[in-house]
Amino acid sequence: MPKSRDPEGVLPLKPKPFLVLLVLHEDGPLHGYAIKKEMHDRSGGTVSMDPGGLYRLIARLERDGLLRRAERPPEDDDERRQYLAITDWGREVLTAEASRIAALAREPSVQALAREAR
Amino acid sequence: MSRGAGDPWVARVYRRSLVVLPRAFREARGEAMVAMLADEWRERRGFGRAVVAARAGVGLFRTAVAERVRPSGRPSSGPPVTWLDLKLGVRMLVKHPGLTLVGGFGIAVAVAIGSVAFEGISAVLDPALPVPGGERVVALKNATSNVGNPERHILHDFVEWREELTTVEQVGAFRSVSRNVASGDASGEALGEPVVGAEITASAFAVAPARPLMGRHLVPADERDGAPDVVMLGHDLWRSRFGGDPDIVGRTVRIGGEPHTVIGVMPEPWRFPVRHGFWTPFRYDPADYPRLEGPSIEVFGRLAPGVSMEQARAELATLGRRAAAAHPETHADLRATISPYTHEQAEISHPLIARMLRVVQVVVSLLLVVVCANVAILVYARTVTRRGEIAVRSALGASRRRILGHLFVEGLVLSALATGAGLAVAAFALSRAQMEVASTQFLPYWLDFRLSPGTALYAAALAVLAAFLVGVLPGWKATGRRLQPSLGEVNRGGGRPLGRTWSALIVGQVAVGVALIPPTCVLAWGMVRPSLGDPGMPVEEVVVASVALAGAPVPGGPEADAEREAFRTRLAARQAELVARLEAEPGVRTVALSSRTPGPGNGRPIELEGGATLPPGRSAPWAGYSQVSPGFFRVYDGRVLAGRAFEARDADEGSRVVLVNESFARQLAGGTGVVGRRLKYLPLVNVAYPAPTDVWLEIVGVVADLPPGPHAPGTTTAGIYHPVGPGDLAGVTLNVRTAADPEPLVGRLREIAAEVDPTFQLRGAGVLADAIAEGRSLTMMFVASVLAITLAVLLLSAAGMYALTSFTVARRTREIGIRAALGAGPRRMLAAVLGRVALQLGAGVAVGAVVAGALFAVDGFTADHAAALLITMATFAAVGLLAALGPARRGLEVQPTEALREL
Repeated sequence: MPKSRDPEGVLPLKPKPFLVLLVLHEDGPLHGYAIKKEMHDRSGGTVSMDPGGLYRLIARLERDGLLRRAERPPEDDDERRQYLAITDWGREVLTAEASRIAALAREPSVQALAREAR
Repeated sequence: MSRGAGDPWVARVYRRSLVVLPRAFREARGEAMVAMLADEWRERRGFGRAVVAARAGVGLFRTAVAERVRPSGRPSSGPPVTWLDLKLGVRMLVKHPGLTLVGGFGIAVAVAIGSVAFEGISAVLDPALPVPGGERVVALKNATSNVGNPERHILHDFVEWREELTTVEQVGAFRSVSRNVASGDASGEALGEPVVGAEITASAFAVAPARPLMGRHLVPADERDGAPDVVMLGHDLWRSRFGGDPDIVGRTVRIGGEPHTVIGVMPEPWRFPVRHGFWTPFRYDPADYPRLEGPSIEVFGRLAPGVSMEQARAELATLGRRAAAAHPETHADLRATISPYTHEQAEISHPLIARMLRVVQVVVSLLLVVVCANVAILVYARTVTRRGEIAVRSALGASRRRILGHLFVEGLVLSALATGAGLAVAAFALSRAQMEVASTQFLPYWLDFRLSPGTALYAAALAVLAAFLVGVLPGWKATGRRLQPSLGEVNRGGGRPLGRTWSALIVGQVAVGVALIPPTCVLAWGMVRPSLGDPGMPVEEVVVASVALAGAPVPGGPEADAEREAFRTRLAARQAELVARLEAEPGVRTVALSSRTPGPGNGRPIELEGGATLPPGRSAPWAGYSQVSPGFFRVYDGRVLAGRAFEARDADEGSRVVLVNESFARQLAGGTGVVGRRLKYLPLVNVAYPAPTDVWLEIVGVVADLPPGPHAPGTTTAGIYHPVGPGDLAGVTLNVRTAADPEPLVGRLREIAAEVDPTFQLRGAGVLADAIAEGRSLTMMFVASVLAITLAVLLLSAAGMYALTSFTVARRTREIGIRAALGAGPRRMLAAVLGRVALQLGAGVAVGAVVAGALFAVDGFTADHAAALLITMATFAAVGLLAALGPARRGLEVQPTEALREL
């Protein structure tokens, strides 16, 4: 359960939880492997999670109320696959984190650093 | 799709591996993880599949560990430790004073010993001289096949190395000399202790740079033949002998009776090359000596910039091979080597020695692990009795991590206090060791045994390790699933028994104590016993001093034989005059010369005509030898038991007579008469002998043992005495028996020696009783350490027995009550309670006794060994039973009605 209803109190999110929430927000309920593929693609190949690491992360996000179990679609006949969906609370936290990142990206000093890195 | 049908083999293997995960996580996510892996496997081909499998395997084990440490399903429970834990930890120490004292004492002793060993070994192993770039200062030598005895007469090699080496700069050499030091107008001044100085090349002050306190240091021009005789003084010598005279530079002082001009004073603590008090120029020319003759010197240098030790070693080895090819008659068996300078001086230049010392450091640290295992037993017993508290905390939401964090802090409070006490003891012991180092003239000046920040950090690490062993491990076991009680059990007060692990630890602890304490105590007793009580000799009436005459010729010089003969003649005359002058002093009864004070001499194998009894473990009979002048036995009231004492003619050259002591006659000749029999020494390599090994020596008398009484184990008690006269020994011990107060004679001895020859060097002049007392202090420190460890082991064993019995009584309260209600007598119930304790105690004592017996059997089982073993066994048995008696009697006082109420 969330510790507080103020999403600011949960920030900052680490990159992997942020990616998981982002993927589920944009693509709807997905199972583990699908989440992993989307995370891999969106991170430009830099994030690649094994089953243990991913499901541990999912367990923590569920515990904190950011994710919930979703129903398996009828066309998927493998009952082992667990489908996850983002909760409203998860959406609030994701939005707050995205705003924080965007605000940082607008900082002139951060933009200068990014240009130097390129 | 049915569960698992059609899964690739890797997914099936993965499923089986899920057993490493905690059950809750496995049941919630396991199949989903298998499905994910199967999905990814199907999409990949070739090498990609290998990567997927590898990542999944590694990730699985990482997840298993992480889930056990911090389960993902539980809410974060905050930091594992808080200030409240610290407060509760202190309270727990006060609430259980017995455990605190016993456990704290044991940990303190282990930390003290570990810290002393760590500091001592670290100081010796440090490769850096305490000067800028000190780690690049090296020693060069010619090693021989006799490890530890390099060739020191290397004047020719030194010059060649200095001229040809490119990887080592500032190659220099020194020769240690011992000289009397006095002010320039010191005629008639009594002799002080001689000072060890160095005849050294000027490059020493570049190799170990330090600015002089005043004046200048030696320069190459000082080494030329015909240059003025100059000297640099060490700081300590300048203060002690010359009162810190600020105008000392330019003054004349006498070094070995010869005038030298002081050119400078070095600052504290500089005493390069080892522990030298003054420095004079090195003026030896290899042209004056054949190869491998001349002065005994040591060579040093500094690695050139950018050069490694291996490169220098390779270049020096090349020069060594070239010398062996050019001079096979002298250099065929020599090997030129290079090593860190500090290691060479500490005699640990062989890498194996350094490695062994590191192993010793680790082993001594393990002592703490052993002690903590014992303390952990006691803490575990205490933690198990707190299972109710643990159950309540668990039910209120405390994670296992939180509970273990609390137990860790409890353990840390105990171990931190004990470590502080142990460090204080270590600091004291190390400061005493440093005082001993500072007072010797042999240990390198850079050795600093005082407690360093590094050792304090090491002790802090030991404290954390101890806290883990003492707090977390017992807590881990006590909070395991199988031991976690339900809240219902809390009310009923039931519980599991302390199982086989507990029993094994108790038995092991007692066995280790019974096995190791007797040999250690016998060794300590052997070291202490000779100094206890009446020494059996008139040590309060004897003044002793080591006496040497300066000016011994350097071997191999152009007129070596003539110089040697002249020196011997002078030595004989001076020693004879010294003895005569002393004998003429009022109050002096007898004066004698000897190679050492009474005691076991250097042991050598011998052959006894007619056969000898062999001591256990030896293939030939051994005896220690001493060389004494005829008056020696009168000095110490030594009695002649058979035959005759030495006469003056026995000291003549070519004499082949000896005396033996009572132990020799008893041990090697079975108590039969030995007067008239002959003995000779059996040769060993590179060892000195008082007589040629191919010559038979006649035993003309038997004297009582000196000192009388049993000697320390391992020393050679059978003794042989050889007659000597003035001039036979270059360095002698003077033994003067007085009829009056000996103290004034010490000062008078110095005056007389100076009058006879100011180049006489007197060391350790004093009353023999004082010398014995001084040598006793280090022995007593060792004995005190042994006693502390013995006490710690005994206390821990007793505490273990106490805790075991308490727990047993608590667990069997109902049973005791029922037995009492049914009429069982107190004796029978006591036997039932103490039965398990007695069994474990008996097993531990028996195993320990067997091991101790085997250790003693190596050198032969003696009455001392038997006594030590029996006393130890009886002590452990008595202490264990006594410790258990208290809780057992409390158990007997349980009222049947109270016990039955718990049904």
